[in-house]
Amino acid sequence: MTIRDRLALTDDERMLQATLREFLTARLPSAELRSALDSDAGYSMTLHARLISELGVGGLTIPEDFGGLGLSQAEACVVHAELGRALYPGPFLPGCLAAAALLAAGDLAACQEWLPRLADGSATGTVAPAGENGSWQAGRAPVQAEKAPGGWRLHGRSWFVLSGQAADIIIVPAAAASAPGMFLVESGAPGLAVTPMTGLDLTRRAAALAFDAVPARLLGRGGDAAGVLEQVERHFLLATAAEASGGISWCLDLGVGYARDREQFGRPIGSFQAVAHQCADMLADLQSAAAAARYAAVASAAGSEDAALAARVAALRGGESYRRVAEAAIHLLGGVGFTWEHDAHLYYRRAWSAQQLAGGPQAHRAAIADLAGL
Amino acid sequence: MSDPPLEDFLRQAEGWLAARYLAAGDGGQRRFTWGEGDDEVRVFQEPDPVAEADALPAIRRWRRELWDHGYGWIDGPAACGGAGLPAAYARAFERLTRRYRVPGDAALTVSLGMIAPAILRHGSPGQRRHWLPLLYSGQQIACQLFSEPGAGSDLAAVSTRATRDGDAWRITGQKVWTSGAHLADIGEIICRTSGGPRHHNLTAFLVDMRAPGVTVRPLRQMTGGASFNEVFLDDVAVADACRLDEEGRGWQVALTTLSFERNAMGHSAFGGAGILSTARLIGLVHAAAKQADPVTRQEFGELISHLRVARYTQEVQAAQARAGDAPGLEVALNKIALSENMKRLAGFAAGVLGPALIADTGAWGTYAWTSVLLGAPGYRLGGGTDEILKNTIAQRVLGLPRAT
Repeated sequence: MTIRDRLALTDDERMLQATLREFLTARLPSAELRSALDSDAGYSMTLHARLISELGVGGLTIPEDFGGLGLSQAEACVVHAELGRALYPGPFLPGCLAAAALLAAGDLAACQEWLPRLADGSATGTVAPAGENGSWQAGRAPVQAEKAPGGWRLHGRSWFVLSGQAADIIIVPAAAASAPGMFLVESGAPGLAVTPMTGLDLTRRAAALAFDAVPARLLGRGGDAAGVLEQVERHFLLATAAEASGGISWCLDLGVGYARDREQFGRPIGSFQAVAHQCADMLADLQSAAAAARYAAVASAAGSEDAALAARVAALRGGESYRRVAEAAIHLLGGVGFTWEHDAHLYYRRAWSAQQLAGGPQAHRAAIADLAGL
Repeated sequence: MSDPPLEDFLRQAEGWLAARYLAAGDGGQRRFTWGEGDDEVRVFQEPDPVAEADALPAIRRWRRELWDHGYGWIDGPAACGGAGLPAAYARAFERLTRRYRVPGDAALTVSLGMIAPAILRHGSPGQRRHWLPLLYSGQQIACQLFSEPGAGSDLAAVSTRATRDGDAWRITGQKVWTSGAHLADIGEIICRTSGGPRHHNLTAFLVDMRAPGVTVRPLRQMTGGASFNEVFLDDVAVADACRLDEEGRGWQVALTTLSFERNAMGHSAFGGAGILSTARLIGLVHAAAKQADPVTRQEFGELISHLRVARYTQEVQAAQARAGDAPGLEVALNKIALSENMKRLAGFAAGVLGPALIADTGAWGTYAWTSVLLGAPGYRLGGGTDEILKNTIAQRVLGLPRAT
């Protein structure tokens, strides 16, 4: 099946989209989201358990042999878009990244032990590839692995770990004497300190991890950390692009609804051309961001040769569009949009934060130049 | 009768093409090599008038051949002379033709991409049976007579008048920005036919471009070339049988035609392999020895991302359309994206080339880029300005109220 044949949403994907939209609209209205953000965990564990168990999305891309649904990036991105639209604060995305890392590392025993638990929601996971500058480079991993009697021990620090506080397992690339490898660390391991980072995005928490001789399990035979990270990063880029398209759709609905209803000078502000054109620009951003996210997800699912480039393009353009549209929504709302009480700033925060976490525009542009062959 | 399987249809079509035309030899992909061939990167077709006129007979013969063998209008309804096959067959055939050296339909974008579909939608059964075979077989070529000096964005304000004269109408007025008027046999014209209310006072006709009283003059645009014409109509007689749709329905005919125009522009070859090819842009950077310059790499990455997203958007929309969920008026956003990308392209070329962009050193592939910067403003105007398209989208897609 070619990419072209898969670009339109299938009936199953539409159903998945509608089910999630309904679930999140009913269970995560603004008041619920706000109270989750004020809680210690930053999300509702009850709601997260229901999302995983009732809708079965925990194991979306986990193969059926390991208790998942065995679906592709294309379906996963439908879910990411809906969760992005609702600013879902639970550890869904980091769990997907941990599963992707386990699968890519190809450690059968670790997969058998952990993937079914990630799929059924009895465990949560995350990945910790970033150093203090945020970049993911296996060769310059901020964590070192040392082979000690009784097993591997990790030393160092990693940063910007999504849902680091909530994770039961953390997949960490670490430099070893031979070659960098991927390691699995369990929460509560001796020597592991998890410190929440004060962050811009109130709906997605990050932590800094300090490793002081933390016992860790080498995944597979080691040595291909770069290849594993590339696959995990691809999933991260695709998810970020899909989440952006979901967030953009929320901001567009908000801005257009307000422009229709809000009256000034005795008429709806949407009848002013300057306002109407802003709204049309927001629709253009939605159309292109959603299409790019979809194309990139399908290209990855199909193993197309331009999949890596498409993922970068989708992350770059989706990220820029999200920032622009979230800012435009606040502007359309006027003073109301600048209040703490209105949810618009939560999207604005997510837009900026997600773009930086995924590497930032400069890194994407540089990668696109490389991948396009310049 | 059921359709032949697509594979059978294509096998026959391929045999037919192979018997008549040379293979393109490179799988249909025009491979770009920096420094080889013509370095033109024109964004408006500005063919030499003599060469253009010389090419026309071959284009007409090509259409005639297609028509005579059932490939002229593959997805057209049989009642109007089409082959009555699904649109997928037409698309597959079109892809197949790219593998052969055929004259192609580039000169017929208006005729077949805009006017013919408008006739199909608004013409009477008799008009469809008469005109559509003529257009698809290349015996007649059509142009579009809409804009006037006093009616640009406000197209409904056209003042070219058509007055009834028994079984005929008499048309007097001036049209402008008409592509291909000098080649066309007929023109789809919007005229004012009554003093009635706006949008209800217009009527569409098909006018014979060679009728007495029709004068066509080339219009030289700021690029220096002439892609368009001015058309003067002085008491031109048109039979009532050439009226398209009912009297007073001209605005609907115009909207239909314009929607096909925006579609055609958003999907034009410009977004494809031609001047936007990544290979050409890479060649440009290498020619300026800037491939290691981090700023150039950043600008290149930014430009490529915009060009790719435009392509992805069109591909996703095309897939949705095939799945029966065709995009509506929002396709006009593709045209806006295209204009923006043209500006970006000009800016990128300027950054890479420096003064070699504005004065000709004679080096291949350098000064040629002035065509892009000179053509870019035109793309924001043609087929509806950015502002008019955004108004339409705000009101008719997003449901925002009209300005009062």
